[in-house]
Amino acid sequence: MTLDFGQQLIDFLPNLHRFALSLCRSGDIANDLVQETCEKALKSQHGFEAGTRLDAWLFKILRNCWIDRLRRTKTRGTTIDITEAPDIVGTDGTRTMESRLMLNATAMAMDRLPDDYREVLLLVCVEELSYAQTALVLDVPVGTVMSRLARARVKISQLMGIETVSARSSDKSGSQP
Amino acid sequence: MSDPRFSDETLVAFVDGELDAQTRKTVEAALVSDGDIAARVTMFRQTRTRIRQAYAQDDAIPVPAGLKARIKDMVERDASREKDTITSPPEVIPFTPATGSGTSKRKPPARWIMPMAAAGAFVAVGIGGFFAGGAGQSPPQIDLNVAGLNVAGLDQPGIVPALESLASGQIIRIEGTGDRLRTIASYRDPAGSLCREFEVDETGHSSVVAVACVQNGIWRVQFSVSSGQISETGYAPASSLEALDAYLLAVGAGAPMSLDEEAAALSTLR
Repeated sequence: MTLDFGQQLIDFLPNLHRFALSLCRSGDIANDLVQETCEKALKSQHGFEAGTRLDAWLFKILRNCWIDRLRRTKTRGTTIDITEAPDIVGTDGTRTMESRLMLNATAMAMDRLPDDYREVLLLVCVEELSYAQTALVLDVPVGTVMSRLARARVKISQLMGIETVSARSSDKSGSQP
Repeated sequence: MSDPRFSDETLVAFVDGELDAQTRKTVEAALVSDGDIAARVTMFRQTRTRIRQAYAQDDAIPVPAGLKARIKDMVERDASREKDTITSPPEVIPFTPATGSGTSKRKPPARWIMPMAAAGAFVAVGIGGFFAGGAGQSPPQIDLNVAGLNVAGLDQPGIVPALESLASGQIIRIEGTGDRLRTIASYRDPAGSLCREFEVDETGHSSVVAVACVQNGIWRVQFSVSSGQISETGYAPASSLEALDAYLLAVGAGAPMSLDEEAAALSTLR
């Protein structure tokens, strides 16, 4: 069970690293977050409920690590935008990664989004979590996931020039806060 | 005109396959008759597709090799511990720089110990023990019986040589006992003495985190805490080592040395 768990963890590293970068946008901090997440996951693997999705569980741990870090160091105010400071990169080759990613117009647009838009887009569109799982990771109601996702998709479509659209008001039933 | 029944939330959920069957059918019907809804659905679908394409390519964001190696190592050590069916002592992986060059990447002094995910009650077990022998003497002798109290886990002959040679972040198995020693960090105290923080995992028992400094050629234990068993959940608060942090703060411990600085300091002991 443990070997499987460890292997799954290793297999999932690209996803964790990707999510970490989208949260903190710094190669070094992302590495720290992933490492911290893996340590916690290994320690609490027996507490992981079989039958639930490992990916959502790991994302949640990672996000909690990030929130803890923000609380401890109040980094948010000084987080350096990687597009403005391309020299701020990790020690093991992240410069190549970020520049390659940033060449991509979509990634550039993602980078300009507010944090809560970017994370919900990544979890749903890239990691393909369900709304319910995403709500679990972000610790918000499903309705909030839906409204954020809709606004984020409208915003990024404008940034990417897909189509000039304006957001519509939400459901008359008022499904989100 | 577009159908006001369909908000962006509904259309996004439609694209993402999150609608119930009834609502999905209603949207599908509207798509046929309402060009505006169809355009919005297309836009929402395109955003999803493009974002996925941008991020999900295999080489879009490669995992740094160093990070991957560290996690693999962590997983292997975890697996071997499981095989031994020993209740796991706390694991500590300091965020040491990937190379020995450059400046220290460790945290500022007030938080220079990486948050150790070590759970349970920490109990101070001894202060003021010393390693008789040590620098310049051979073989190193250990005498940690202080006023009748043994400083748990530190009375082993392999410790002093390890403290004098092992770079921070490394682990060795102590000959004879099978216990593991992990060097965590080095710093100088206000008097300029070289101090090292390290951890000893006693086989089958709890682990001990200690700080020892070289004073007049002798390693003296300045501080040690014995950790309890790791909790069931494994979610251990970083505050578990608050006592150690408080100690380091109180004695005015300097910032942890970079590996280069540490290597230079250790070379003066030999």
